[in-house]
Amino acid sequence: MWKGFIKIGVTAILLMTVSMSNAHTFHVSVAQMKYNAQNRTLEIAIKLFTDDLEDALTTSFGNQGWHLATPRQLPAADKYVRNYLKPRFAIKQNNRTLSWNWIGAEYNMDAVWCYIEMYDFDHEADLEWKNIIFFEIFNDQKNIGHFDILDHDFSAYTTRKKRKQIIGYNK
Amino acid sequence: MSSFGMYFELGVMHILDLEGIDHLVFILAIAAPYRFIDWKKLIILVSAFTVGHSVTLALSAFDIVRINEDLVETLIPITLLITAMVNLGKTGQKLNMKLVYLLIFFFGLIHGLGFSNFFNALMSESSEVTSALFAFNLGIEVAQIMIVLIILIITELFNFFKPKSQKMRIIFLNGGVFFLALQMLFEALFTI
Repeated sequence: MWKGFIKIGVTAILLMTVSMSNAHTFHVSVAQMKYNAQNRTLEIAIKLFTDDLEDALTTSFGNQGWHLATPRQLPAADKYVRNYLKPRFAIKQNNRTLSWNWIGAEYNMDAVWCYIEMYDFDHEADLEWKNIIFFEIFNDQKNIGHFDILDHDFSAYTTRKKRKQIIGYNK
Repeated sequence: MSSFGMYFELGVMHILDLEGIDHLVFILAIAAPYRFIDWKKLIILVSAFTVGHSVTLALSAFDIVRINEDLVETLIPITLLITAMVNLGKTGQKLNMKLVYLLIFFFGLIHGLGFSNFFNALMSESSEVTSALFAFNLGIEVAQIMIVLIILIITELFNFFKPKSQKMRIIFLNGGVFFLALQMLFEALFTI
């Protein structure tokens, strides 16, 4: 009796699952930060899941009909993405927040790549990295950061419990 | 932190993190029926699970297999339910160990797909997958061994104080696993 019951149960669950939407279960973003010694800038690329980004934009600005990565994408989407990221992603050095320049974003169905540039980066000073992207919508959000500064490679991640990371060269 | 250190930490936290306790509960279910004297069986069981999940984690990390995430997240609580039912159904009797090893290996394959859902989210185009995968998997193993050791210590303490209640302990633990798994299954099915 048990066997029959299990078979029916498993089959039903499989069918239900296959027919469901494809929402990913983990909430992660990845940022790559590379120091450009010639311009003394930090070149930043942030990968965000497209559906997460739409949720966050709607939470912050109301539903403007984003349709990211589709032909119907909101023409002003870029501006909203920039305004969303600006207060949530920052680097501080020598008690000063680095100034920030939005380069643009690349919209794909699964992920959006956002490009930012920060000026007057001091490659010898410790840095304080703040990344609180999506913390207001997901409890389990993890924001990964990879730093590539001359010969040094570092990685760190922020969570709701640890919203900032200090990155130093002598540690 | 080096990126190796970070992926290692993320691997450890992926098992120990209370936000998603499915893998932790599965390890509890695997180890629940055994004592220190059964260490050989436990080593084979944990290895079977490890080989299983390492295979699918690697296959998925290198994009050789790709399986619907929701399907995997639904199958994981089912592996917990079945493991708890096997342990409950045979309480006090001898299990057919070869069959159990095979089952846990098979379930390892499913959990590996679960690990890969998280691992793949961490990767970006410029990531070095191989070393990240190694560090992440190592983190998972370390966390797994820690949990097995903690469960064994609790089991032995229990045996010390209540030596005659073996059956009760197994029923208690697996009952807990069963109901947690049931809750996870409903969550996986209805929170999309």
